[in-house]
Amino acid sequence: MLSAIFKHEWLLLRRQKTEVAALLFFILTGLLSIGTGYRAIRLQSVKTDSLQKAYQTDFGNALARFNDTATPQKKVQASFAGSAEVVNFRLPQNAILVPRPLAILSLGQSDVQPFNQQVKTSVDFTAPPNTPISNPSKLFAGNFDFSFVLIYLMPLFVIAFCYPVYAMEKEAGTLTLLMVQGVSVQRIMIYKLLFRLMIFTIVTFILNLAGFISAALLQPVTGIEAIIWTCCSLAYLLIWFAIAYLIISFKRSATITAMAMAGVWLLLLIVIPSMINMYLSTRYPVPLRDALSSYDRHTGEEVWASPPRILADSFFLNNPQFAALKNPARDSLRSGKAFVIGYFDLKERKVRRVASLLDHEVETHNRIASRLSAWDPPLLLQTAFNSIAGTDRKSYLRFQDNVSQFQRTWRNFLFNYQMRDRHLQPDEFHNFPVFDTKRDPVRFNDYLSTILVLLCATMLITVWGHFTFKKITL
Amino acid sequence: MKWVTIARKEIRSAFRDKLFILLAGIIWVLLAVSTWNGYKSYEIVRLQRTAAEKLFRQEWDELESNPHSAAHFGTYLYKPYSVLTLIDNGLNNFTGTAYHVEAHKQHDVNYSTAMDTDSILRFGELTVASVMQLLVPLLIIFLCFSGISREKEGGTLRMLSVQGVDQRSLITGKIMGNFALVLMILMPFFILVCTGIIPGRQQAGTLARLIIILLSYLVYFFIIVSAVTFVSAFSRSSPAALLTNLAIWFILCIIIPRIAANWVEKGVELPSRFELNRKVNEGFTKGVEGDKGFMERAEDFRKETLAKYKADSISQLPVNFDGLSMQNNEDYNSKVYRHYAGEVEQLIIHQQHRLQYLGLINPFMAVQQISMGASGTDYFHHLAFHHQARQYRDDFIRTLNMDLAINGTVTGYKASNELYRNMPPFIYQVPGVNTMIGWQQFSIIALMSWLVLTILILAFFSNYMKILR
Repeated sequence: MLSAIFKHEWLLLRRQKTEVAALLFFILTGLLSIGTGYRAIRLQSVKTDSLQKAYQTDFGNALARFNDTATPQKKVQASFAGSAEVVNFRLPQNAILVPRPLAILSLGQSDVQPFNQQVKTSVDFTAPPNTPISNPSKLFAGNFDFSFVLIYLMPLFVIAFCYPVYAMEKEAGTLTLLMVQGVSVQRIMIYKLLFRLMIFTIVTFILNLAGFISAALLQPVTGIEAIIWTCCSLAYLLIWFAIAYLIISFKRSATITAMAMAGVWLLLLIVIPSMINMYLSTRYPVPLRDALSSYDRHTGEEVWASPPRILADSFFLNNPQFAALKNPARDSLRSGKAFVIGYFDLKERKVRRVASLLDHEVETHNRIASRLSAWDPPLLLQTAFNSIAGTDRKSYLRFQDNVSQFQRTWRNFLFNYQMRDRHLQPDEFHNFPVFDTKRDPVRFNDYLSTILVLLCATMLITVWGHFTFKKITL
Repeated sequence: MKWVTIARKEIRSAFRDKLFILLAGIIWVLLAVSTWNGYKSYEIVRLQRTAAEKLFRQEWDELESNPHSAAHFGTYLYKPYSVLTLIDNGLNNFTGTAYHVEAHKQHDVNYSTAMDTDSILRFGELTVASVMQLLVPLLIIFLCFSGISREKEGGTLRMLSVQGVDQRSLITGKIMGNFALVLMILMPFFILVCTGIIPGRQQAGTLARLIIILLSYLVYFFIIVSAVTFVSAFSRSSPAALLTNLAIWFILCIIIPRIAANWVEKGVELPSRFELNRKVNEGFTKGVEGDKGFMERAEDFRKETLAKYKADSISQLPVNFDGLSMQNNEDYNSKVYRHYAGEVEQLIIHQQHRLQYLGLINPFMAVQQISMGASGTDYFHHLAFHHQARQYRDDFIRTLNMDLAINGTVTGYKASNELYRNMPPFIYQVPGVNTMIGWQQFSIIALMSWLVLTILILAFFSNYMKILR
């Protein structure tokens, strides 16, 4: 019977121009969204390249200063060209967040989070964040990426294809005919839905493949990333077919069925997420940074007024690697190196403690958001997609950790010269530490829970639909 | 007046329909929840910002230091929320919240909520505006999709035709009846909002802005009721009418705004933050608009100052040259920043205009822009805040530098606390209603064009429409 129904449905599909056009529209929208994502990440790469080119120019200029003694002023500049303080000022290091390959499919937060950071020997907690310049209207509207097409659009096409499955047969009178012949209506409905599921699986698979190929044009895509993405998108597809089956099982008219399906879509994609946002904005509002800014400024003044010896002692205590460079006589002077270095070191330590309290408040907001998102399949899937694509907040925080580590490396590198009152030689410029984007590997186990939750929900809804179908008679 | 009879019948039958009561109830609950949320958010933000402003003002009032140190100490300005954010929070989550005033540096408005949150924020917030723009149209679809298709399915369309009811009267009656139903659902809410907001309004023009918002939504709903009825007239069956309307809703309210937001960037790409900062730094060092470089400018200024005071050397000046020189550099820095940041602003304004033009093909986008504009939460209001904050910053730093110039001839000079206490507070001047209308003129024209088109179709073409039977 399965093959007979599949054949019949295939013939019907070929005859119905609207459905074929809808499928084509879905495919075209999918391809367009992949193109949009590709363009956005490509543009980011161009900006990153220009940043690196600018650094190379600055690097060349910094080296050229060693030999440029054309004027008295340039002579002075040449004598300081290797000073650690000058190097830190003129050649701040760039830490760049290189997007993951699948970032083109799910742009996530990449448009509001900085993708590069300048690293100096000290951290300025009040410095403005390096957020990309964007039109806020664009951020408000959201990205038209492939994850949007899968999360928002695909369910609507599932609805459009599935809502008349039962009502159409009933209204055409074929249902009674089938029942008279002793054929199980429920089985027929399941087969009809399975046929549609097969069509959507193929289309989703093709679009995913197109996405992976486009991503691979920029960076190689690993098999595991592609597999997890595909599994997540198919699990989401399944849950929507289960929802369609459940609503069909109530055996209502085509209009009521379509309205109910549209209602579920609205609930899961618009109402629940906006309710969660509403709860978060009132219960866990994102804090202002006023207290941090105020503390930073007061701490700066307070630490600056400290006796040089105390600052030097604090620095050597917290940075034992420089202990051998202690020089009690020089460290007691405000003109000594240890004074300025100790000032920044102590101030940074103090302010960091307050900053971490603020970060904790922000992360509580995000932790609760993530916990609540787990109850809504579209939010759960968006979180998973962004995570695979490395465009979520967690990936950004990981980048921030890497930047902090690199900042300490850069600081120690230059302090080794500064504390010894030694200037860098031109060839030593090539020994600068280099920032390395350490990425957590994408592991299947990290996404297993998301896939299992979607599959379990699918199963529960299907069982519910199964019993409802049996319970409700014509 | 046959259409009045039809409209009355439409209203009477709606009240008998449980679906209408259910949908009206849902909309009321959503509006109540979103209003409460809007109020709560408004209060939280207001308290947060008032506390922050108080903190920085207090610091400033207690300050006793050299004016230049004070300029480095600086202050923070916060964008105040209008009470109308209760209706439409607009772009507030995506524009910055704080402006840092400090010496030598010009800043953007930084620290947006979106930067600190994860992608869930991108799914949108439940605000009165989102209910009005997205969900009320759905209510209208569910209410009106079968308005005419039902008559066809039940065979009553032919009967009406036999009784001499022309198509125009039928369509007008259906539209007016359903529009009256929408008004019945929403009017009590509008009245409640008006009575809640007007007595407590603090800013001039709030009432006018509120009226603009309400009128825009009424026009928007009328257009949607008419469009849904037209689709119903052209559809073969009620399910087909429902699906077509839902597809149109999805395309206009969900897909086009996203595609449009990406499209407006084409050919109008914005630079990276790094690029802008670098240009500003280089512009200051090398000069902009044909000006000389930093060193030459400094030398010229030294000579000009010496000539002005008829002195031979800086030590002979009756004023502190450092104060004057710093102010001269601040003025130039502002010029450079205005030059390059102005270019970026122009690009974004160009993108905004493109978005507004799109209102001609999508009434949702037109009403969205008008609603944000009237609530003071659109890009133009954000820009107005930034410009005012920048002007305040320039005046603030100038006051300090000039104090240093006049009184700072003594080594180790510290200004009296009076200077800092007398520093005027920043007061954001909300742009006038006329200015706001000017910013949103394309969206207003677009929405009005939709209204005129709807009325024209209704008045002149509805009788010639080929209603599918």
